[in-house]
Amino acid sequence: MNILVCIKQVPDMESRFKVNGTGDWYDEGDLAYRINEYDEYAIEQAVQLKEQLGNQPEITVLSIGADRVADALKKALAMGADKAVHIQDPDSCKKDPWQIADIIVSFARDKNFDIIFTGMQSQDRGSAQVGVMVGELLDLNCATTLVGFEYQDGAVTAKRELEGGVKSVVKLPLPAVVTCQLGLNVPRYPTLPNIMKAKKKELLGIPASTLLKEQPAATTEKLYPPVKSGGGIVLEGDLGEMADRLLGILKEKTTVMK
Amino acid sequence: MLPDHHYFLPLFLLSVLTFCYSCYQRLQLVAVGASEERCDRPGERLAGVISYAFGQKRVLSRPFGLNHFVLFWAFLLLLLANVDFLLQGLVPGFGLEALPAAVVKPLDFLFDAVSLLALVCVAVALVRRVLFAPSYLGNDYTKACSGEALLILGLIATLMVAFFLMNAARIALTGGGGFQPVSAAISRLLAGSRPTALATLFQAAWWVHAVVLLLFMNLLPRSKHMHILTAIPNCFFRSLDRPSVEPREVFERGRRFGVSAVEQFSWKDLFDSFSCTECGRCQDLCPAHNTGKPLNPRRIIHDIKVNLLQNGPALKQGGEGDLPLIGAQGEGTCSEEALWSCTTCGACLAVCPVLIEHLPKIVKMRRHLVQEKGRFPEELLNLFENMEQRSNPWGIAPSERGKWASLLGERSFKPGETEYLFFVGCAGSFDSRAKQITVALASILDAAGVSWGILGKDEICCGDSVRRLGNEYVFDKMARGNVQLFQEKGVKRIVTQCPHCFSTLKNDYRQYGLELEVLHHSELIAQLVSQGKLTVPKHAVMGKLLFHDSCYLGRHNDTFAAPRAVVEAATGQAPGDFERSRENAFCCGAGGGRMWLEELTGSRINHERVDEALKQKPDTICVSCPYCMTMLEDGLKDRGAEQVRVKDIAEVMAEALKR
Repeated sequence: MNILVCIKQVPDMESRFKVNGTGDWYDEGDLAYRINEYDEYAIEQAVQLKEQLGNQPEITVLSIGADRVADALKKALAMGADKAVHIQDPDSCKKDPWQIADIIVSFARDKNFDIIFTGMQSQDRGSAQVGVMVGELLDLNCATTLVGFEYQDGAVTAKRELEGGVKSVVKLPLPAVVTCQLGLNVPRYPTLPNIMKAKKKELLGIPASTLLKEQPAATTEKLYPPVKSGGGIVLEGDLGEMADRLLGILKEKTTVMK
Repeated sequence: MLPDHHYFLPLFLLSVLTFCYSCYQRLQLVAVGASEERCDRPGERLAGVISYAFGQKRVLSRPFGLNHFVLFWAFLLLLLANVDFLLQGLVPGFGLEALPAAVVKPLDFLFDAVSLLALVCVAVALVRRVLFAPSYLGNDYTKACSGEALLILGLIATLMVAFFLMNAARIALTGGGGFQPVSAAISRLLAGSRPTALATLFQAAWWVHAVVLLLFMNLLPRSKHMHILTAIPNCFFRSLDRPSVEPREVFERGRRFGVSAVEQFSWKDLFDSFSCTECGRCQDLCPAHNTGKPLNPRRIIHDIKVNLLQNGPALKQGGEGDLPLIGAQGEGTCSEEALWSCTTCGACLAVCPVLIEHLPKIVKMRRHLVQEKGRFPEELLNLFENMEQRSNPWGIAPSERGKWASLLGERSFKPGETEYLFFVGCAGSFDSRAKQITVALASILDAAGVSWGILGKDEICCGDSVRRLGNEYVFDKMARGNVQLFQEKGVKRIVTQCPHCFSTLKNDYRQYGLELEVLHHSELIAQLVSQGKLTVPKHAVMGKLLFHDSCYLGRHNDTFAAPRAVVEAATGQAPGDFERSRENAFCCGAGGGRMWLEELTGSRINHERVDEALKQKPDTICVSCPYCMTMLEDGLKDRGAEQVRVKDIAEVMAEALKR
């Protein structure tokens, strides 16, 4: 079996974001990066499938982006992927989901992947389109927002999370694309021997320009923070003082004391 | 009159042979362990042997230790008597007898008196074990009145009684005994007996003494009384540095990380397991054991010994043992839950009379679980990620770290200008309650005119929690990062407000070549007070105040006086103590990374500590650690005792400095 996992490196969501100079994305300076949370579930599920099948399958992990993306790929290798493909593109944030899907498809088309795992969406752009477009372009079966995964006899039984807590169960024969949601699994903590082994695994670099053929389908016009609608106040300090200040605020600014 | 040495000689040789073989077998097992340097600084080591072994320093720290002290010295003195006894048995007429009377007579008196003392001590020990046994003598694998304990006491008593009867019979037969009051008194009871009966009594007592002595010698290496042979060398091989500072690991491919099998321990770890006396003092103090957790430090040492004995034959052949070291297989294996229960408070280290190092063994096994297996309580997944991604346990953006200082203006550390680096720590930077301590300390330093600065967003976690939790790989990265930063900035003096940062920077970072002056804020404030740089306009009113010792400030760094001096300077009164205080203080429950773990088994450690305080009806509990602050405040809330305030020593001092 041949498995592909598509992952994205995203900024730590705890960071302070600033809009960049051109006003169409966030400023990438001074940010710490990590693997997109949903893509970690994808890696974990791929590794679990490999283990289920007696470590026979080969897992390729793919990521598009600047040099820093290599860190994310190394972590995926340490978690259990066999080889990594870094599609080099310092400007990946300028590409829309259609182009990202096109790059992945150009790479994957002649590789005969039996199953492609990816996150249901990225934590930064959140379009949730790349996985399904890859499925469509490669003519693969596709199920999204997986919270349960079972594989048997060439078919995946997937539990999907729908709106309002409703779940559905679908069965899809391979080859297929699945996108992973929170709750599917607990991504493993890479062990030290595996971190060391990962350093020796293959990490192939391919320039994005050699794979990209499509023009953007949608361009980002503007990125801006939501308009502030009255901030909260956090009182700190001595309990008694805080109570007095709260009382003062309630008296002055509200009608509850009247 | 002496027994026929033709019978004794073969018995003696056989006993010595089997004894040596048993010792050789045990030492062979110890040699299975990894190498570790424990012979450096021999002078310091010998000094320790004198105070800990011959002076019985730790044994005497509890009242009943006096009984052991007397027995120990009785054994040492009687060793000479017994050598004499054996020599006489082997070569009649060859022994102390041959010495001048001026030497022999005082020795006769000494042996006679000391034997009586030993007999009394055995009786006292027996009565204690049978009638007044403290609960810590027993546990899930042994009890106060174990067969082994009673057998050993019985054998010692038999030796003493046989010694007296032997001497009494000889005195009754041949006279003398002027310098053997006990034996002479017994001989008077024998007066009037027929000489043949006396000779038979002598022969019988002699043989009982001989056989029991040789039996006792052969029992030593096969029982907990192995400590008679190993305790003194164990004091010599003790850790000269802080034993709570775990050894570094080398991160190279093909190496093992942590300990998953008994032979991966160092030889000293294995030697420790043969030195345990089963006194139970560690068990008595362990906060995890006391609150119903599966951890018992004594059990950890016992399990290592059982595991080593069981897997020994295979290990000596260079193979692998069948019994796993970590698992749920009962005696001889350490359960994972037990290993995760440790708060690394160090009470076991501080109390052990023979200086066994329990804590590093627990951390070494945690290292295996974390680094080789990726197996740990699920809460830690988040913690490790927060530490690796954001260098703080809460996972708050690193850019927020210096924010508390925004009201104080520009406070960065300036190389060459600033005297003290204020290493604020994660709690002091991010926890809203601990930030008040940070601000209080800043105001004190300003009031005393101290030149200080912070690293702001460049500061990263000291790595204490990850190191104690066994994630040495992440700790190593953090330590190297911090050390490099301190060196680049030319830092010479550091002050911290958290004992965990303090101990890690001061002790653990030495392994990374960092030897700076690191002060806990209690030490710096106490210094400033004694130098007259801090004058208190009025005393802070705190009501009845109890001081809670932080493990990492007190027990791990012997800093007991400084925080008390600060409280006394600020309030005008020496603080009250908990029932268990200083070296015996009871942990708040947050050390060893337990701050970030749920406490699901047994009762809560912080509740136990808070209940101990509430018995004295305090108005204020004073702490010197942000973790203790959180644990005690939470405990008071849970107990409905929010009227009791928890204050850091810096807050108490800052209160006193307010005009």
